[in-house]
Amino acid sequence: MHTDQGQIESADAALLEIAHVVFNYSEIELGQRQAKQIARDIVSQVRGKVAHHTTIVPTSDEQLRRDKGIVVGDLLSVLSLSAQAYDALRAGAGSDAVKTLSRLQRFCEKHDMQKFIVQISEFKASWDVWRTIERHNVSGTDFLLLENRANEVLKGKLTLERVVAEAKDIVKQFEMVGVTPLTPEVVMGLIFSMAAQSEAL
Amino acid sequence: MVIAGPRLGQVEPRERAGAQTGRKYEYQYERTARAALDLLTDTAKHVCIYCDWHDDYVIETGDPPTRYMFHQVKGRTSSQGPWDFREFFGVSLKKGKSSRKAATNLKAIVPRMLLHYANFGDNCVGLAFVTNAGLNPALSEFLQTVAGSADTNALPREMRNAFDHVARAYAATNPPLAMSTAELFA
Repeated sequence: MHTDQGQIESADAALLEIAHVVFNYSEIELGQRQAKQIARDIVSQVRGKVAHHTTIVPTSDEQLRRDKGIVVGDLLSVLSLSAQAYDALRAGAGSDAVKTLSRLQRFCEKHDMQKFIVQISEFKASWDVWRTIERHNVSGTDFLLLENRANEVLKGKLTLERVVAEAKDIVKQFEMVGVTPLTPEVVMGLIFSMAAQSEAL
Repeated sequence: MVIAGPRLGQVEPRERAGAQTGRKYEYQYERTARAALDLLTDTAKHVCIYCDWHDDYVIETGDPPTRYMFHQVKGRTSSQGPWDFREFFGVSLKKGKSSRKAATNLKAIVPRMLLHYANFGDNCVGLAFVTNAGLNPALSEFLQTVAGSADTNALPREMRNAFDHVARAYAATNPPLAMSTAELFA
């Protein structure tokens, strides 16, 4: 039972409520006007799905989703977030994939790396997996040192070439730290994981 | 040339239901959109939100095999007040006549929801009613008491009678919405 939900007397208040949830869930930086436009776009997607009436029963789950359903990819496209990058992040062991993607995308835009967002998301996912596996093998102090080195990378002027070079350097220092080999990709995942954290709103 | 007669804005339209009906549909879409946003969180584990298919919206949720949560959305203007027992269960409660079979309004909230259990069995993981309004105190107390009771025997006499009354009405529909008081309670 969900009573007292939403606004029927004021369409504007209803849009603002949706816009507020969009921000809370995605952390996308939006002005009120943009946020309301996104809310309108999502409601419009619903209207379009409601209007669809040519589905023939019986139909498969996949076809019904296409005809009458809204899936996360539909929302990501309204939010201008990469569905491919989202899938890459979901493949890892991290949580809050949409917020992480939004933060990563913001970071990449600032540093002119947006074209690498999918690969960066894959690195981030591989770091999450590595950390999950190695959390019992790597000492707390080594984790601290590793994170500190990654943090230092973020302080300088950032180019992809520099991040790669620094990641390779960090691997040399820490390659024997756990059971699973630490690779430059995993370290890049750590660096961008910390970059995403720094973009939290 | 002088034209006599009132202007459009000077005469009250015969009816204005169209605008209100339109807003009620928009309200349904807005609640569906709000529910769809839960796809963005990891905690909800929602896979898809179906729009106006079997119910106003249906959430497909969980790991495969996924299950369905049906949502009935009803907006109403503040002048209509909160929902009452008859609107919710589709059965009138008439004191002193509770042993007689009452007619069920199959378009009411609960009867429409119960059809999903009949149609989808174990794949129906839940039924929900979404509204901008509230419930009137008697209905609210009734639902809370039912939710907090282990079985119908634990209900206070008057509520037990009301529950039996609804169960009898539902058993009399074709096909029956619930075969017995116990089945409805479950």
